[in-house]
Amino acid sequence: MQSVSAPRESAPPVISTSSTILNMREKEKYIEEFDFPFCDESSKYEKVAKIGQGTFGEVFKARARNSNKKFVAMKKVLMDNEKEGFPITALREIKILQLLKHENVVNLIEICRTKATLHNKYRSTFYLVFDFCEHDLAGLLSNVNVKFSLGEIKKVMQQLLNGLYYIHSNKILHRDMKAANVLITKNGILKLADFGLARAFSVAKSGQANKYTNRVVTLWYRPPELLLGDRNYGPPVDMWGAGCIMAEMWTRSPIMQGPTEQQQLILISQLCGSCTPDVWPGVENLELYNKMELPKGQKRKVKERLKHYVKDPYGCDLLDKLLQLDPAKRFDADTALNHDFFWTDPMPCELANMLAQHTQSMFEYLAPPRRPGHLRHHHHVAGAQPKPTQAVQDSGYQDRVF
Amino acid sequence: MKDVIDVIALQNNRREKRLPDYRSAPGHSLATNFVFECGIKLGLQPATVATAAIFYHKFFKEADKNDYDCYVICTACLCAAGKSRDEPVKLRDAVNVAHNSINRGAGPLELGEEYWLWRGAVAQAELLVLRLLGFNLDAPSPHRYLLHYLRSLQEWFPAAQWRSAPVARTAMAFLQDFHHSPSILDYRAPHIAVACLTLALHVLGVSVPLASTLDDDAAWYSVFTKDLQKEKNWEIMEKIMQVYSREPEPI
Repeated sequence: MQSVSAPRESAPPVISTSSTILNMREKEKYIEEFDFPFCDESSKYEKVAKIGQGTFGEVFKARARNSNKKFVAMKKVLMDNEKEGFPITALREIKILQLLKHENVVNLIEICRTKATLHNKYRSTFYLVFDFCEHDLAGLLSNVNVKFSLGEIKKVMQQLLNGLYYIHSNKILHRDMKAANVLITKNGILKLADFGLARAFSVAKSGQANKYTNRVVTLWYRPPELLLGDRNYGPPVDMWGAGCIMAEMWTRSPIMQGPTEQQQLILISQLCGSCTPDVWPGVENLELYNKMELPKGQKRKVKERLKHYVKDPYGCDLLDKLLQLDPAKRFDADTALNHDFFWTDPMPCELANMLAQHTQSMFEYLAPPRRPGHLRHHHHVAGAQPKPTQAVQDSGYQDRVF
Repeated sequence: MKDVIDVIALQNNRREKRLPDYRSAPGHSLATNFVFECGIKLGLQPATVATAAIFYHKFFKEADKNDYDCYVICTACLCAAGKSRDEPVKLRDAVNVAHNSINRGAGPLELGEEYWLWRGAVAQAELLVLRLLGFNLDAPSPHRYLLHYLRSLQEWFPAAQWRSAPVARTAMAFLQDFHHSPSILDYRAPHIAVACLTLALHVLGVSVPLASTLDDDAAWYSVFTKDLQKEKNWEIMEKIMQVYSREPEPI
């Protein structure tokens, strides 16, 4: 223990079972050369560019040194100000990512660490290493040259719902659904990313409601039950986000951009109608129901307002089902996947050909703001994390620099 | 009245004496006792304490026992297990509980050099544990299997017979105690659960209703796990019993 765990200090005042007492210099050398058989050094990857930044750290694109073709995304685990050891949020994310193995969920390859040297005061930095994805949906949508056909939109939504179906059946809530957290490879495979806010959930047993924090999900994608203080929520919170993202496939920018929680609720009411016990039994029992200002007498205008963008009537209908105020009435992923939208012409079609026309990686982080004058990150919730994977340059992909 | 007080004092005294003295224990002989004592004092769920013990065994499967102070590693294992099971303990609490268990009767540590040394050591040791475990913290837990098997068996037993013997408690106790042994790493979770259950039934002299009508009277557990041979089950049960021959007695 004295040899590794407390390098800069004298041995802790525990009775030592160690047979070797090292001096300071020897300890430092020992630490520098310590080999962790199950946790590789991050130097096996070579950083290429920074591709993401959030409240909780940075994301880099990197190349595997043993192969020029293999690209990864490295998400740094921020350890500064960490008074309680390795951050539990990072540990939660790791555990969840290790559990989830699916084509439409970002793949965690491994955890890496830097060498502990004098340079970093003998403290390692840790990285989550992911398969690299070339684009994120927010970046693609912000580029006017990227055009999705109806069949391609269906493919995006089908994959997104497949991913959600999978994580929900594994009893995981994502809790940060937004276009920037939806990654797409150059082959057109969609991956749900950033499980920094995710958690396991259980169905509440009668009499003992769950008490999850409702300070989750980026404001523009936050469902009405969270805005009203619900702490016993479930998969429908992610389905609301899926609805917002689906609408965005046509509108090209987030459909409800409230600057405050109160404003967000008003925007939701203006689109989806007033939150009343008539349309949403039990809403009156939510903690903030009487504390927030809720517009009265608003009519539901989801289809009316979105039909100008979404010409396909099935698309409009599915949006209507995903943007239900009452979480109990909101479609779950399975029901949504069975909707006629996915089973009528034009059928979902591969994205690879369309994406092949674009040789530049598109990430929200690297893209100019979608609306001039708006700061990209201020709508992050407290505790939100950066997108784990995004991209810059791949074989033939240009790095966008600024 | 005074007699009563004397008796209580005597009992307390005895109990005090039975607490293990980690200071004088050689090497790692009391390491898992330390994990369990501190885990219980920290108010952790039994399955979380068991996870900490698993971490400890896994750690020293890879690392040399002479290289690290076992109590610092044990404390770090408790911290890591707490986080991994979403039941985090405050580092300060962990440090104080560990310190107090080693130095019986000592009060909470002053916020001085000794405290900060301890705290730094445990935080660093936690990182060490996580790395040596390759961040693979999610082993299938025998607790869940055992609970599931117990519920199924309970349905199968006549209510009165089930109530007359503490099968569930005994089996759970065997499972918890088996975590004192590194052998727990050698078997699959469902097998361990069946072995704990079988051993509890044997010890309590209870047999599964209608099991004797089967060709093989141990085959009742084949509904739970198909690939557990009778010999293997006995092997695990023997390993469990060996825990109780350890010196000194676990608390």
